[in-house]
Amino acid sequence: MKNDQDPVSIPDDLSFEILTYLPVKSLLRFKCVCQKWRYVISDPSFAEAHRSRSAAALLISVPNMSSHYMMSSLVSLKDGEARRPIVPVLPYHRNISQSVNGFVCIYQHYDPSLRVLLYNPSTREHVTLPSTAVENLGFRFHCITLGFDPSTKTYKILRVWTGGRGFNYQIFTLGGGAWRVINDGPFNGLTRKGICLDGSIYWADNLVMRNSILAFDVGEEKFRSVPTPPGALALKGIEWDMIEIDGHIAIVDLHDVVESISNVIIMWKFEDPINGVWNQKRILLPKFCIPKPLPFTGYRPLFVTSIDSGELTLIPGQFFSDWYVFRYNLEEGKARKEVFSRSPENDWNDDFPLIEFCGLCAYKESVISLREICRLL
Amino acid sequence: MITFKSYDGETFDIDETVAVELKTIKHMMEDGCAGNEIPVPNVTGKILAKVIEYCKKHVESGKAEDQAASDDLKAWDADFVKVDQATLFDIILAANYLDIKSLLDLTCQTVADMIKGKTPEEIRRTFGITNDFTPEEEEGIRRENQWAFE
Repeated sequence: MKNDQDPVSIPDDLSFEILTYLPVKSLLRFKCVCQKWRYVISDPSFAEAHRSRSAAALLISVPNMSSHYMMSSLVSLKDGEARRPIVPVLPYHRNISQSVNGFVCIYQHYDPSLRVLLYNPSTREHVTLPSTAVENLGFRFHCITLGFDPSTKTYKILRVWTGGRGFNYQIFTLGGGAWRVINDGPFNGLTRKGICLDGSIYWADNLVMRNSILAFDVGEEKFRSVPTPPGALALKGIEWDMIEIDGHIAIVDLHDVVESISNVIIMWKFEDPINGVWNQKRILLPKFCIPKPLPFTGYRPLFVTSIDSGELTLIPGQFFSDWYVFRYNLEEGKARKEVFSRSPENDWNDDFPLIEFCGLCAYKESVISLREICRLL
Repeated sequence: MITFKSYDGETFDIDETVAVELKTIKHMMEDGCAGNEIPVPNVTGKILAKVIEYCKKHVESGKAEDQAASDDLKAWDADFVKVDQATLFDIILAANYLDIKSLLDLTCQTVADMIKGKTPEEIRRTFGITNDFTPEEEEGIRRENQWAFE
């Protein structure tokens, strides 16, 4: 008679299949089990298989009240818990790039040393990129976008910086080399956050002025325009976010809600990028999702992103008592509030939960090792 | 009606609609390789009975259209996997061999939930794995991800 104490014997491929169902914390521990398990768990294709099953979460940057206003701290919202990861290094870190394969870049727009930190919120691992100063003086600000080329499985960081005389574009491949210049970048810069999808990064900076989405092929390292016929979408103001939903680019226009005109937000899904076709979906938000106007001007009361398939996640611009978001299910047309309780691991006394413009991103739980990617072993 | 014959000679009569849930069998039937009695050599009668029970239930429930039916099925699934560890792993092996995706998914998730809190040593005992790290190597891995061990 077998009992629960006897070891099971199952083939390796099934053991590793079971591992893809585990949370990252367990996987990090199980790297100790044996050489083979460590090898598998550290493998990028395992990380990819694991990610396809894993939950998504939010990373937010908020100002810190206990110190100079310019200081920020990160908050992660996941599994019903708000947690303040202690990520060292950058004194004014507040800008978060979009997330690629579960990790992000953290930087600060106005940092003349152009410091960049790679951070994986799931493994709590952080790596500082070798610092580089720009050649010109008179630096103003820089923006960082993270990209992934699936054909070569390489990660690249694109940065745009300006010293007042036009915009400079450079690219860096994680794991080797130095920053390289890119020559055909848009002359008016890139201010809105990009989204990396299927080997290209997309920005909506030119959408209103030039009827096109700007795209950058991560592998080829070339910019291109994805045109949109004029009148294909009608945005009402500036309170819109470009998101990725179910493998498509979409623009969610929050204008009417933010301006207290109505409870309707409009989602424009870029169904057919080849032919420039956008499909509109009007979404009537339930009353409980509508934020109170913020007492501070210039700060948005509502943000949107997509964490889970078929859902929009609405995030209030300021949290009054609890940390929470609204999950709107597009097919059911229903929303629910999801609350995150403050983790007892952290000190919340200097809590000032006001989201700043670049401080929000959705990320997937990922066991990926930054040290492996950057070849620091 | 299709008849399955397990590794240890037990036979089971099953409706065709249930039989096709086992993708391996479905392909055999489509290829015309299946006669009146289909041998299932890798699976014992005890496990095959469980697998068939699962497939029957899921075919009967069809596409659970309403939330109540869907919740009932989930509750049934939760009960279904309340078996001893050895049986659970045997069902995983069977679900894999017979290519029953939803059963494989259910059982893998169940095992994952069972083991997620274990220490590396407990995992080695469960899976019969020898520790081939030196104490220094193992300590190195622990230090890299200290928080995961707390």
